Amino acid sequence: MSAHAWHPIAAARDLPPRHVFHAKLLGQELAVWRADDGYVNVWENRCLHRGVRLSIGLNEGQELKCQYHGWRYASRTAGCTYIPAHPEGAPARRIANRIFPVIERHGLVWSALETPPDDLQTSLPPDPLVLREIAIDAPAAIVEPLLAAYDPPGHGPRPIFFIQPTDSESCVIRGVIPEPPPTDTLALLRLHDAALCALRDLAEQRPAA
Amino acid sequence: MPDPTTTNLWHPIAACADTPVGTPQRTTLLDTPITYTLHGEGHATAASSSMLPVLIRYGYIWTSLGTPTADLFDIPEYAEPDRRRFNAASVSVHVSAPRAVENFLDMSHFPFVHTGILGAEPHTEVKEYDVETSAERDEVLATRCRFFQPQPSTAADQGAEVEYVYRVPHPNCAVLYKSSVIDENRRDVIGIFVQPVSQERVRAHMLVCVLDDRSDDATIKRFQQTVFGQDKPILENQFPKRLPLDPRAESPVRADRVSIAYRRWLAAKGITYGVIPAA
Amino acid sequence: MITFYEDALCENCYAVRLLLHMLAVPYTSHFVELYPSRANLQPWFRAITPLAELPVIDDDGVIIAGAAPILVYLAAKHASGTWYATDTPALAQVTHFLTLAERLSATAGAARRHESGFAPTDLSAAHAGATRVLRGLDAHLWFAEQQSQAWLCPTPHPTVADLACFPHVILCEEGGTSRQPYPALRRWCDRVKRLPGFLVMPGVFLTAPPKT
Repeated sequence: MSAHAWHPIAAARDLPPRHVFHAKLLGQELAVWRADDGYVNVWENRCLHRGVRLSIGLNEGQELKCQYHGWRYASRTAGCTYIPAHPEGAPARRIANRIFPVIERHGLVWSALETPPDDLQTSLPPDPLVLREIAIDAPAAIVEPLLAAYDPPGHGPRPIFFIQPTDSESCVIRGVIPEPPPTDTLALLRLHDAALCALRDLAEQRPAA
Repeated sequence: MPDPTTTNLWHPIAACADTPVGTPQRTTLLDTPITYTLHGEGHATAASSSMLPVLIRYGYIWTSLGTPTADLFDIPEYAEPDRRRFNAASVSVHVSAPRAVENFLDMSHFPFVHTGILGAEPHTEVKEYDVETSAERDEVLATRCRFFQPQPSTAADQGAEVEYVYRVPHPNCAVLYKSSVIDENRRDVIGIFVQPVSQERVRAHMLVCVLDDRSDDATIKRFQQTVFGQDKPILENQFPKRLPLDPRAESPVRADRVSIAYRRWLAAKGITYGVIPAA
Repeated sequence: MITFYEDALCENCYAVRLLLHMLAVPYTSHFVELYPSRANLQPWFRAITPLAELPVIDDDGVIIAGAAPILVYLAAKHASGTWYATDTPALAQVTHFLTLAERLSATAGAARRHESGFAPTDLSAAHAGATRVLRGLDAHLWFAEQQSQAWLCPTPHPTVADLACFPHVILCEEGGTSRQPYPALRRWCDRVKRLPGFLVMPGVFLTAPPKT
């Protein structure tokens, strides 16, 4: 699992306004938030002042405010714009949190630990049906073969699966259905959810290699 | 084994008032299981694999895994008979001792973490204050600290600009002195005595030594517990859990002068336990 | 006037406190410290409530002990059309989550009491049990969102089900149970925090106000 590869880290609908999403990719914690103008920010989950998680911070629409000392960071640049302890002086422009590359496409949010050389390559349509993500306490290597053998319940369309490696011990299955039937998507979502939860239970019982 | 400085310190392991007399109790200090017993007024014993030195001071049992070369730091105000003196709380926190001490020394978080009590927006400015590291007294001292507080203490019924002095006479202990609302010539004394259970876990013991003629003990305790209970989730969301001593690891500003001095002081002592030493 | 016997750090007391504030029902606090002094075990408190557990309310002589009974009592008395159930299926749904809240207390809550140094427990069993319940809640809320529902029960208004479960969810990280794998649960926590009358307790942060 390459640090230079695009991985899905959230669904687009996981990022409502004024919310901070807590993601994890290859052991790196991320604070993911959608600004009021729609822009998706993917930052290291760590305020560089004193190391407090930004995922407990406040998404105020154009800025993320750290819960500890109220430092504010601008959308897009992650540059510090305001330090309440010193309200008069402008913060040094070089105080900026670490940002990660982001693509919002196919109903998912994609990121990488190092900027990938190429654009995201998938054969997905713009707006597939996105299944509920399934977080699994087992490494991706255990989940991969189980997912390869996945039998779509009810003989419906087979989802396309992505495995997000959260860290060495866990991963998230993100499935999408490119051409969902027009009716009863809720029933379809529930059907796959139940099957994937069973797969999760199986994966978690397997000893790690 | 922890570094020699840490090993040879006195460390708090329990509040006497919370310790049943005559019954052996267990705790952990520097990753080492300790059994201790309070035998009565002013007398206690403690052991790990062998007997350990013990002293009782400020209402706490202190012990060491090594050989302390100096007496424990002095808090003269503790002897004043008209003060309310007790352990407000002993709180377990999943963070290193130096992180807990540094949080205690910090004023910038008052309006955000202790909103409506120790601070409130828009009074967020941390005015210039003085910091001294004294080799002679072996402590770090921050003086002339000032902050506007909506509810400075249980004795206060309105907001006030409060003056603080912060004193760090021990790597894991800090004492603050704040202007009393009852007597402008005297100061309330509050201490945090941190027991390092492991490098990333502590029991923080909070000493209250204050002037208050209106609140009962439970009210004062609840005030301190509320304040520290607000700090706990911040500390537990801080990474790395050990305090980085390299000045380039984090981004302090002028308001953090006392924490910069504290980190340098720990580094100068050769402390490696609970910290990430500078490269 | 209600007398509310409570402890400042107790999850079940927080659930009741939330409803009292959201209903704007006046009350007098009587603090009874659970840890470390176990003041709840003293004879005077046992005389009021034999189980000697918090929370307890005394509503002009009517004594009710336990978060779920108190929540149901207050909601039924002051706001049955919104905070409680108005039909039989809804009754069952609310009750389902009130019992789930007790399971959270026994798992996530036990881990929190252990990590706080108050009461030792089998930590890995507590975490495993908490994971089971939180996974179920997260999945339930995800599917609720798919149907444009914001709360645990399929009602336009939050119910006591939400208030019973919220304290255990929002404080679970103090016991070493991370909320990171539960995105729908995290969004629901933000919605609860935005309810009129919401108040924090140590360990709980406010969220940003909603976009207007």
